Amino acid sequence: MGTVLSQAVSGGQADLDVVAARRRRARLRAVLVVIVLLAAFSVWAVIDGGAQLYLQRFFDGITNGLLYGLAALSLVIVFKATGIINFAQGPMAMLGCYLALTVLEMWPMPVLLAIVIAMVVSGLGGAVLERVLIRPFDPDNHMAIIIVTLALFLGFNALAALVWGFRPLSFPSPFPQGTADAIEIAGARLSYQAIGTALLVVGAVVVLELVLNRTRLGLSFRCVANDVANSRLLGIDIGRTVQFSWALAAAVGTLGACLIAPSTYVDPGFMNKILVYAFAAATLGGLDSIRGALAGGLLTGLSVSLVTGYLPGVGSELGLVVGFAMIIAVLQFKPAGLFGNRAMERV
Amino acid sequence: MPLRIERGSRRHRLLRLALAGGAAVLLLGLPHLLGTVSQVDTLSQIAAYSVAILGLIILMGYCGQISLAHSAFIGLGGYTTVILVADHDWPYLATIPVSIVICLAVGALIGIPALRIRGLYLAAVTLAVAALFPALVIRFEELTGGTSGKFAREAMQAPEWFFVNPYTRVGPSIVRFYVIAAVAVLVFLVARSILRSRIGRSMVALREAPLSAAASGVQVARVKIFAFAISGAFGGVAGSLLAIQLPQASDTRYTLDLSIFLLVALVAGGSGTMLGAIPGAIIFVTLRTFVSDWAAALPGFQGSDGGQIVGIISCLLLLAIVFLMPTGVAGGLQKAGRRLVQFTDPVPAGWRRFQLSASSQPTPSADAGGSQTASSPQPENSGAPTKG
Repeated sequence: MGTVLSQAVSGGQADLDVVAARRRRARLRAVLVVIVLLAAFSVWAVIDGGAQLYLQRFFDGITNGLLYGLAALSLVIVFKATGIINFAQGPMAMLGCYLALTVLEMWPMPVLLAIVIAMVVSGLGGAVLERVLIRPFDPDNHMAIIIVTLALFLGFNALAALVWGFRPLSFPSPFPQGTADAIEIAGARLSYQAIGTALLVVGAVVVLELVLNRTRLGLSFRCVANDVANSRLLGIDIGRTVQFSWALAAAVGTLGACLIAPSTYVDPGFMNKILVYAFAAATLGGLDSIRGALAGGLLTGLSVSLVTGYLPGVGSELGLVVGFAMIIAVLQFKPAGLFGNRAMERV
Repeated sequence: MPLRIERGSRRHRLLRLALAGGAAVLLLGLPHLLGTVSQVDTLSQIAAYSVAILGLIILMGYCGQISLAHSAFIGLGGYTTVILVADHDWPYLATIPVSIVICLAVGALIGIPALRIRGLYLAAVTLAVAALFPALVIRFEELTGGTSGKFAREAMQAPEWFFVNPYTRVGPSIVRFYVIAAVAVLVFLVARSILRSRIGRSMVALREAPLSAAASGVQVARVKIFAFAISGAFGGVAGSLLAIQLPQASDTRYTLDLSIFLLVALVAGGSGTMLGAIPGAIIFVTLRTFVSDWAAALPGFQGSDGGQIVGIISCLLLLAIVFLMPTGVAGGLQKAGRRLVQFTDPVPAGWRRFQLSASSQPTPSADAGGSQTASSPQPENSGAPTKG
């Protein structure tokens, strides 16, 4: 079955080569435009504020960007398999984070182990959610499924407030967090926590790519993402595959929330703001691209950090506006995103 | 056996007149039947929120798009009214057209990039709008009053000739209710005209079959953007009406939660028909006031506003409606109503010419009565030679 599937995914080779080459060129051009824009801004920023400040902002942006990318990843996984945006992704990740916190409180253990436990539990939870609340609907009935995710948004936020209260809690970092735990590069601090977080995110993405490219379930996931009707004809269990994607997305989202939490705090709404950045990252990378989500996250984090740090009149409270402006700009100029593959239909 | 009434007949017109009259009497009389200020104010809130939900119905029910930015539009309308009244001494009602223009413009600006592309981009963009509206309010503090909110000192005053005595305890509330209800009725009539117009029918076509609609000459992007802008304008009117009812605006009043609760109300009330806005608004206000009060009084919830319980109840309500009654309360009522009364379409004039063997079939009650066509003959085999 494996060869049949991969043939279905790759399609007729000869015709697609030309299209693929053209697509690659377009992608390269778009990425270049973005990089040139960022570089121009950076040059201005370095002249304006000096190299040390710029480097600090740059590090902050990269660290945040990786986390936005991880949050975007959990949106992209569900979108690829089902074609819907899971609005409950933020609250689901928030619940996972509270779970890790509770596990830590009850049994003393390394923070990383608690995060892994929370990821496994929320993965199971995601699978159950899909089975109970999503699968009864016709997959093409997007309106009903979105309303279910909005109901979950309300319900999870309320549930967290009911169980853990509105009081902001602090989340322990899995990495040393003291003021001395940092390396200095040209005067700018790069904390061990940032480095560890970045390594974890990259590791998670590598594992994810391996799962999607090397396992049977990953293969059927890619097939379903490509074409639902064809996958059904090939004998793929659509329901199980979608369930797998929900579980995967819930686990990735929990990891993202647990890594974001040490630098902010945990309260029932703390992931909602992140959700906007995640949308910006996912739109920028193209809603159906795993690598695109990560790259989009990096670019979003960098832009938010630089724009709010340097432009006069745009304080840090307007970071959301930067994310919003990015979504609008991408939709206007490159609606498929930088790495999106599916032909985006203009209407 | 349901009662059959032909559309356009005298009985149909009488029935509609009676229903409209009944609704008018209900609207005029209801505030006098209620005793207290808070009850009348609740009624005003229901009327105002029904306008907001009506905007969502046009966008979601008729055009099939999802918007989470309604809280931002309501906020825009609310701030427009409060700022114009408080800082520029405008009369309350004159601010409503300004809200409409602002919200139309903003709706078009957001809709143009998001709606030219198929998919759920409008939902994502509007989520961002709803999330950043409170941040913008705080940023432009000198205009909006920031976190401390904005207040208009004088509530709306009734003119001298108005028939309600404003010097009783509930008088001012009743005056406000009449104004809000009058504007709401006007908006409902406008919505009815829009939905019956060419563009309204284009929206339905777009929802049902986008490809066929485009093939039939519907300008897909333009219709979607129009629907979104109109829905935003209705949100703005609702915001102004809410500001008339309670002349204050603050950043915490217009959050993403408001949008999502409005969607709960929309789905529960029924998005398939305009009139679903009324049960929707009743459900919305019930959840946000009565259920909230009840939850806050529960043991263990002293000091909180009961929002957790309201959230969980809303979530369960939404899930129950989506699973059990996808057409909402209004859809259920319509279905029940069809058991009692059915409206039939009138027989086209001159249908006899198109039926082949018309002279040999004496149809019952074709000429007699006219209004009571129990079984309306269908001109289905027009021109087609059925039997050799």
